[in-house]
This record gives sequence, structure tokens and C-alpha cells, in this order.
Amino acid sequence: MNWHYKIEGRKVGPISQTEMDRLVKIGLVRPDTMVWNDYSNRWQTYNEAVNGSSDEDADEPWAPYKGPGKSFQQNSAEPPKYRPVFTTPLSYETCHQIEFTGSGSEYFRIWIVNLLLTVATLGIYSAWAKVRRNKYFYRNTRIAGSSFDYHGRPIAILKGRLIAALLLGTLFLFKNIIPDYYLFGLVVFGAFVPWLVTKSLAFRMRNTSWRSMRFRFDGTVRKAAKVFYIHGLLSMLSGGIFYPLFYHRQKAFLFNNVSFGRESGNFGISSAPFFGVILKTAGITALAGMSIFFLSSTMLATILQFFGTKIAVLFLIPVLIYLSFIFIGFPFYQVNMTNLIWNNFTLGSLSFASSLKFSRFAWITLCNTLFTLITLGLYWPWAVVNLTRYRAESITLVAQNGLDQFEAGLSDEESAAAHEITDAYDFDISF
Amino acid sequence: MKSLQQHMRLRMPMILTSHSDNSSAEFAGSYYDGKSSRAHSVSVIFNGSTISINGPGIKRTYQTSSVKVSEPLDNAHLMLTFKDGSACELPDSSILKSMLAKTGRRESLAVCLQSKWTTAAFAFLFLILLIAAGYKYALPVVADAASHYISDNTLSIISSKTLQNLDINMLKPSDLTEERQSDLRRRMSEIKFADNANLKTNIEFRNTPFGGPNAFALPDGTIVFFDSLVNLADNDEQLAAVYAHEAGHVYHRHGVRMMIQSSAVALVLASYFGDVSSIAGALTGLMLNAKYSRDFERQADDFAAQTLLNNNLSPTLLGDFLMKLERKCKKKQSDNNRSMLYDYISSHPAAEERAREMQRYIYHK
Repeated sequence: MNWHYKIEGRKVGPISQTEMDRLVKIGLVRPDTMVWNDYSNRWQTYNEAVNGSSDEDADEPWAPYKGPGKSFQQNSAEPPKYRPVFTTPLSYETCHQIEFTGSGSEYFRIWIVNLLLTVATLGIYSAWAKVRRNKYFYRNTRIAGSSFDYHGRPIAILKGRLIAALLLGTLFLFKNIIPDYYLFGLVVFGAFVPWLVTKSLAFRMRNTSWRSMRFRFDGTVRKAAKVFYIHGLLSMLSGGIFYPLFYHRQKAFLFNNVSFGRESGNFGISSAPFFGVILKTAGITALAGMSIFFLSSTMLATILQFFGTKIAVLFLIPVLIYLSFIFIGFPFYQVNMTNLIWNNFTLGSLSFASSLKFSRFAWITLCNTLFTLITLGLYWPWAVVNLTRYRAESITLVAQNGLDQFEAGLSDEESAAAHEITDAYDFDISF
Repeated sequence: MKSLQQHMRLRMPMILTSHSDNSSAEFAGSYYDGKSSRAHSVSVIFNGSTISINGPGIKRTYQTSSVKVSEPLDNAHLMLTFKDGSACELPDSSILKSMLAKTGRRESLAVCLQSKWTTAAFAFLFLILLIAAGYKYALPVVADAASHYISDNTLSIISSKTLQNLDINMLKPSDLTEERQSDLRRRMSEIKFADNANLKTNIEFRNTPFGGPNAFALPDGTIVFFDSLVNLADNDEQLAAVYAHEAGHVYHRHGVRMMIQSSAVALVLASYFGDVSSIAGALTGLMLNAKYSRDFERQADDFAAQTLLNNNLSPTLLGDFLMKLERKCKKKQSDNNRSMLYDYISSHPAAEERAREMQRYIYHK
């Protein structure tokens, strides 16, 4: 059963039953917290949701909860199966909304200088540009008054870019010059993918810090190979039907292997909701495309007359589907997927509440695209900042035990030595 | 009038104390020891050569020169990173930034450029100039140099792919009879190029519903004549002149150079707009969409004139035919007011001027 709940007036969800139980246990969801579930299909207090009605047993609000699908009516003959234990009293001081303090006008200046230096150095500066861009976004993102920081070294990124250029260049040559060997080229390229992905994720995490503590990524190439070769191939061979499963495994590979201090991440959701989000996105995109097509049916006659039926079918319909994907399908997918992922991710005792809304996200996407087109791309920095701000500020971090208790896993010397060694072989590739 | 100290206190509540000589100041910040995520509230005392951290249970002093100071940003906190892996985050630090600047700390060129709108605007203008100059001057030179590294085998693959694409999308088989085609092929194979040219050509005929009379050369030496062009010519010698002109494009590798230039532009545009998938699509149709520059046309004309002279033909053949072509296209354009997709004339220097150039060859050589 999927749950939603409200925190400081913001809707959060969907979350799984397990995650809901955990939130009840840590006290974030209280008897009076407004919740919604598939079963009730309306907003009500958590007390009402698990007990049917609140006034029937006001003296014992936390009596048995019998699990999804079963009757919520109380049956005094059965012993209570589940009784939430409030270890800590709830306090909203444990909720930290992520802050983003970047501005479009400042990022524009950084962006234009980065662009100039990249062009002037024939692309070599792009690695330094990437570090400065990442630093800008990390340092302007804060949780509980403390900002993130980025420590990636440009040389490592330059190395990654060279490797990527070499691989993609080879693949491009294979495709265009000797198409007969394209499959061979793809296989060679594919052999590198798990290694590249693992190294890049490790680089990104190791170079991200909060309160001068680095994040860590412990995923292995073997695990990545399993994701890409088993689930990736399954997705490819099934013509994309199993893509949601593949995507779920990729996210699980990232979120299950990330750690901060001694606490490691846990991605507590199955792949089923991923299928749901992607199916819904496909449906909504097709629906939106068709409704735009039929809404303009007054113009349809003219269009058919002007372009001919063949062009209308071959050209106009794909364009409409594309437009409805950009402005409706893509925001829908982003909002639901982001909420799904963050609401089911925990890092030790930390959990996250993501409350992106479709209407707002779609509006930002629409404005960003229009202004970027009108200004021939000059609006781009504002567009990136707008979207980053909305995404960051929609996430609330729930730290029931506070944020001070994270301890570094390794001793100073060990971690310093590890940094030196990994730095030497470091590179970063962003796909 | 308020003293400097009072003024700063009012504007910058984070500053605890600031001495009027500006060489020492105290700021409020958070200290992280790098071993736990605990934030220690501390006061940071900057004293020119040293930075001291003071707080409950924390007392540290670092040499200013050994402290890594983060790039200044409008709203982001200033981060001081120390050699032992610990760090200090300062919410408001504009005063500290200016004090650090006085100790001889230099910001990078990028920081200097981005910190003000005026310098950023200069960077923008300079960027536009750089791109324009690169496109106009550097790109042709680079493309010319790079064109020599593309093997003949690659050229023939690219050329045959292009012709295949065109055959599918735009061109139709020629309506000329087999005899006429082989006759023209024989006539053109009699044209001998200069000894050092080492050209292998292959003549093809096509019909097209689009565009006017045209002929074009592919990088591997395939030269395609449209039926309309063949029918327009007064005699086969004029067609031989067109053939010599197209062979000039092949000899000077104009096709490959244009292809390299266009794909470089497509690559830059695609990376700017972030759509890599467009590159592949852009590449196929490049050859014909790209118009040769006037310089390329002149080079091809020169080559044609020289070749015609070597074969005891008059260079005016090309000039006469170009004039005829222009008259025909002008007439057609007035008949039918749509612009031609592959208008042979529009990309070429004025036909009259070129015809005059051809005349010149007779008197001078």
C-alpha cells in the first residue's frame, strides 16, 4: 500500500508501507498527522486511517493495525499486532528544508567566463569550468545552515573527458566509417561501461562534502556489471519494456552504496512503482499529444490542406507528441520519479521528504524553454538555477537523531592516504 | 558621523569586533573537525599572518598562508579549509575577503572576470569575437590540414553513402539514353589533367524534380550531372568545361574541407545546445547544403581554365556556359518565384565576372 503524508503543510509521498511504519516509529508521523493511502483515497489523520474512525476509540488510538487490504475495524478478540512506539517526541526542529542560495545573474557571469576560457583554450578549460560550476551549485546548497562543498580536481575530470572522447570518438568512427563493425564497437564500448560508471560515482561522492566530511560510494564494478549486463540487456532485448526495472536497479546501485560517516544508504522500494511512473508518463504524454491534436481540430482541415495528409501524419503528430513530452510528460516523470526515489531513501537515521508538484515543475520547464529559445541560449544559467532551486527546496531532510552524530569511519591518516592513492587513478565522466 | 567600527557592526552583525586599523578582526562561524558532522560555534580571529579558531573546547591557530580560502561568491558561505582536514564556514565574510586580499592573496583570472558585470560583459564580447574569428580564419586552415589525413578509402565510403542518401531522398535515375551517357563519359575521359593532379573521376547522371540545372562533385571524384544541365549545354565542349571545374573541386579537396568545417560547426552547436543526437543527422545532408565559398569557386575555375588550355580547348567555354546558366535561372526564377534549393548560380561568384576571368586566361597564357 502506498502512503502520503503532510509535513509542515507540504504533501510528501508516495512512500511504502515499510517506510511509513518507520516514520511512525521515529515519531515523524503522529496520530494527528494528515495522511492519505490507496485504501482510503482521502486525506485523514493517521489515527483515522489505521482505526477507521477517531471517535470510536478515543481512549486507545494506537490499537491494532492489521495491515493493508484487511478491515480497519477494531476486533478486540485479536491481540494487537502492531503498536507504534514513540522513541522520541516529535519535533519539527528535526526537519530541515534544503536551502538554495544561488542566483541566475551570478551564475550567468560564471557561465560566460567559463565558456570564454573553454573556447580560448580549445576545450581544455572545460574541466576547470566543471569544477567551478559544481562548486557554485554545491556551495549554494545548505542543510541546517551548513553548505555542501565540491573537491573534484580538474586534472581528474580532464582525464575522464579524454577517456570518454576516445571511446565515443571510436564508436562514432565505427558507426559512420565502417558500419559493418559497429556492433563490435558497441561491445567494446559496453565492456567499459560498468567500470566507468562505478569510478565516476565514486569520484562524485568522494569529492562531495558536508561539514567537512566526505561522502563515500562503495559500489563495485562487479555489482555494476550485473546491473548493466543483466538488467540493461533485458531492457534492450525486451524493446524497453523492462527499462523501469533497469532504471530501478541503477538507482538502487547508487543509493544502496552511498554512505556518509558510518551510516550507509538504503533504497527501500521495489521496482513496481517505477513501472507505474513510467507507464503513467507514457500514457499522459500520448493523451496530451492527442488532445492538443484534437483541440486544434479547427485548424486541422487547413493543416491537412496545406501540408497534405502524409506530412501531417509523418511530421505533425511526432512533433506534437514530442512537445507534449517536453512540457507535460517530462515534468510529470521528473516530479513523480524524484518524489518516489527521495521519499524511499534513508541514510542511517536520516530520511527525506520530497514534495515536488507537477504544476509548478511544468511551469518552470515551460518558462525555461521559452526564454532560452528567445534569448538564443543566454537565459540558460537562469533556467538551470530556477530548476535547481525548486528541486532543492522541495526536499526536507528528517533527522530524528539530529545532524551532529555522524562520525568519520576511518582514522585521519588512513583516509588521507586513501585519498592520495585514489586521486592518482581518479577520473570523472558525466554521461 | 558613525565610526567605522559602529558602521560595520550595524551592517555586518556577524562581525563581533573589528579594529579600526583593519588588520585584525573577529567573525562568527562554524568549525568542523573533519571527524564528525558536529558543528562547533566558534569565533574566528583574523590577525594578518594567523587565523585563530576559538570556541568551547576548541582552540587552534593556523598560518594564513596555509589556509585554503574558497572562491568568493555572492550568497555562499566562505569556507576556510585547514591542512589537518578541518574546516570553518563563515556566513558573512565580505570584510574578511577584503582583508585577505590585502595580504597579497590573488584571485584567479576567472574570478576577476566574473565578479563584475562590466568584466563579464567584456568576456561575452570577447567570446563572440573569438568564435567569429575562429570560424572565419582558423576553421578553414584546420579543415584544409585535416583533409589530408582522411584516407581515399574513407572518402569513397563517405561519398557513396552520400550519393545513396541523395538517391533515396531527392534524385531520380537519368532520362538520358545509355548511348548519350557513354558518349559523354568517353568525351570527358579524353580530358587530360596536369601530370601532378593524379585525379580519378567517375561520372554519374541523375534527374531531379528539385532545383535547377546543376552538377556537383563528391570527395572521391564522383561527378554528378543533372539531366537539365546536360540538356542546357550548346555542345559537349561546354559540358567538358563544367567537368573540368568540378574536377577542380575534387583536386583541391573542397568537399572534404567543407564537410570537416560543417561537422565542426555542428559539433560546437550541438554541445552548446546540448543535443548530441543532431550531429549524426546533420552529417548526411551536409555535402550539398554546404555552399562553397567564392574562393573555392575561383580555385576550381582556375583549375578548369588551366585544364582546358592543356587540352587545346578555350577557357571561354566555361564562361559562356555560366552566362547561359545564369540567364536560364533568372528567367526561371521570374517564372516561378520560389527560391531553388540547389541553385547552382547563387553560391557562385557572379557569372559575368567569372566569364571575364576566363577571357583573361586566353590573353595571358
